[in-house]
Amino acid sequence: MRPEDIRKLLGGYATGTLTALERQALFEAALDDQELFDALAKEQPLRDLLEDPAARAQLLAALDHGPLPWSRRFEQWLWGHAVGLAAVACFLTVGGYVVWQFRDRPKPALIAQMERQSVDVRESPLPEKPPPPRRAFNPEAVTKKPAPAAVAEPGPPPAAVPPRPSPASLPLPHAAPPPPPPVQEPSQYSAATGVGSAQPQAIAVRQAAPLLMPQAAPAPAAAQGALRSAATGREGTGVAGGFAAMPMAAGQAKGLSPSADRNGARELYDPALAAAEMKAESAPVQGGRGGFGGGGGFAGRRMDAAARPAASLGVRYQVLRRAAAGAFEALADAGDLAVGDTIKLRFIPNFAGYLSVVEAGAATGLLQSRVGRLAPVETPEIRVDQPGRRAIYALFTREDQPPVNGANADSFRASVLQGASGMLSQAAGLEGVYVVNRAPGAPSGVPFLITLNVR
Amino acid sequence: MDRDEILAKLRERIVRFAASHLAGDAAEDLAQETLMLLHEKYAHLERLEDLLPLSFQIVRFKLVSQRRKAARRGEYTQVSVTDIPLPDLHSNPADYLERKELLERLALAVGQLGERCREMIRLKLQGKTFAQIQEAMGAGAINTVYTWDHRCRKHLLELMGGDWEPGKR
Repeated sequence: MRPEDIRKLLGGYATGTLTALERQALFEAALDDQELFDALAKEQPLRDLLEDPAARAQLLAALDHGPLPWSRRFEQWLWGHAVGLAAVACFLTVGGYVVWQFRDRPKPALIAQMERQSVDVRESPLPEKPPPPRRAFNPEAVTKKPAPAAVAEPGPPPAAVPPRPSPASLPLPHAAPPPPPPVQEPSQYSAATGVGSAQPQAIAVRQAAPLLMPQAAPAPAAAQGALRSAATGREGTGVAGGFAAMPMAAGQAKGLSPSADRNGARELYDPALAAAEMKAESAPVQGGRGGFGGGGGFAGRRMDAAARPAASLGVRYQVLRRAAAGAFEALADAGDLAVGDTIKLRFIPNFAGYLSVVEAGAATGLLQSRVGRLAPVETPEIRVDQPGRRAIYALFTREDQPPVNGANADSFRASVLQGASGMLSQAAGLEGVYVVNRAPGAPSGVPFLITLNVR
Repeated sequence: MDRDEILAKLRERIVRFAASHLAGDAAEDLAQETLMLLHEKYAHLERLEDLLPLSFQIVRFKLVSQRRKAARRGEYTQVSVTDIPLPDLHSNPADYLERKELLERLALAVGQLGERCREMIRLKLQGKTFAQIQEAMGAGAINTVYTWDHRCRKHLLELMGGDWEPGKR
C-alpha cells in the first residue's frame, strides 16, 4: 500500500475493522512516521470505548434512529431551557402588567389649596396686656395756679424778642394732602376713646373724649352690640370681630365666627388691638347700649384701628360670584367655581397704596388703581368660560407702580411669583384670605398669587 | 523486526508523543516507565500488533493519571516521575464517567452524519472488515472504501470538536 493509503486505515483501527495485513502495515508505518504514531495514539480512547460491546450497541441504536427532525430537536431545546424560558415569561408578564397599569393611570393633578383655619381664641388666649389706665377728668382736682408775680428786682433788660406773627399772616404750609380718611360713621367719632393716632380726626376725638365720656359704657357691651347688629343683616360697616371698619354685605356677616375672623386678621391689623378685643368679647355683656352709636368704647377702638398704622402691610381679598338674583356673593372657597360663573375679586388693603392685578396670559391688567386704607376695591366682572386653573397675579405697594402692559406683563408676573415665595403669611378666614408681608417695611409690597379652580 | 528493535522505535515515538503533552523530562520519564512496564509485565508479547496497542494504552492511562493529579493539586507544571503512579488498567469511576461522556458525544455526532457515513460506521461497528464493507456498500474498489471511511472519520472528528477527548490535548 502507498503511504497515503495507509493513513486511510486509521478509521479502522478503533473499530477493529482492519485485517491482520492492514494492521501490520499501519503499525509498521506508525513506527516510522511520528504523525501517524500520534494519530494512532489519539485513536486509543475511541478504541477503548468501542471494545465494550454495550457501547457498540448503544452507538448502533443511535445510528438506527437517524437524525432527529427539527420539531423533535426544538422540543428537546425547549425542555433544556425550560427554566430560563419560564423566568423570561414571568418577567415579561409582570413587566407588561406594571407598564399597563402605569400607562392607564391618570396623572394626579397638583392643586394647591389653602385650608381654612379656625382657631378658638377662647381656649388659647393671647397673653393679656394690662389696658392702659384711663384718664378721667376730675374738675375738682384742677386748681388754678396764681399768676406769677411781677419781678420786683430790676435786672438786666431782656433781650429783644421779635414779635410772633399772627396766624393770619403766615403762609399756608405746602404739605402733601393727607390720604382720604376711612369711611366711618359720625356716630363712631362721637363716642371714640382711642389714643395715639396721627389722623386729625383721631386727635380731635382723643382730645374730646375725656370731656365728653369720662365714664363710658364698658367696651364688651359695645363689642357685643356691634356684632349683633352685623348679624342682624344691616347693610353697613359690619365689623366682624371688631378689628376694623370693613364694609361688607349683610349676607357675609351672617353666621360668621368672630373668633375665626379675628384669627385671620390678627396679622393684618394691630395685634394689641386684637388682644384687647378678645378680652372685651370674653367679658360679660353689661348695659347693652351697643350698636354703632351707643357703646362708645367699641366704636372708639374701631376708630382707633382706622387711625393707627397697621403692624404689617397686607391685603384681604375675597372672590365674589354672581348669584341667581344678580347680586354678587362672597365665596368661602375659591375652588368652588364652575364654568359659566361670573366673578369679581374684592381687595381691601390695610394701608393706602397702589394695587395692580393681572391675569395669567393677559397683556393688560385687570385692575390698576390707587386704593385707600381699608377701602374695598373690586375688579371688573370676570367670565369663567372654561374649566381648569386660572392664576391671577396681584401686587400691592405703598409706592406707585408703572402701568402693566404687553411689554412688562411677563416681568410683572415673574416678580409677583418670586415675591410670593418670600416672607408672606396667608390665612384664610370666612371673610376671605388675608395676605400679609411680615418683612420690616415691606419694601417689595405684598405680591401674591390667587388661584381659581374651575370645575 | 524483533522485540528489542520494536521497543527501541516505540521509545523514540513515545518520547516525541509525550513531549507534545508534557514539559521537560517528564516525556522521557513517561516513555521509560511505559517500556519498563512492557518489559516487566508484558514480557511475553513480542509482536508489533500486540505491543503497539498496549503501549498506546499505557501511555494514555499515564497521561490521564498525571492530568488528574495535577488538577487535584492545582499543579500544571512539571511533575516528578516518582509521583506518577503505575497505570491501573482496570476501570474506575472516573474512567467510567469519561467513557460515558464520550459515548454520549459520539451518539450525538453520528446522528448528524450523512447516510453513507452512518452506514459505514454501522457496518464497522458490526465487525465487518473493509472488504466486507466494500461488498455491502457496492463500492468498486477497496480504496474507495478507505477514502469514504477516511472522510467519514474526519467529519466525525470535526463534529466531536477535533479530538475524541476534548480539552485533554
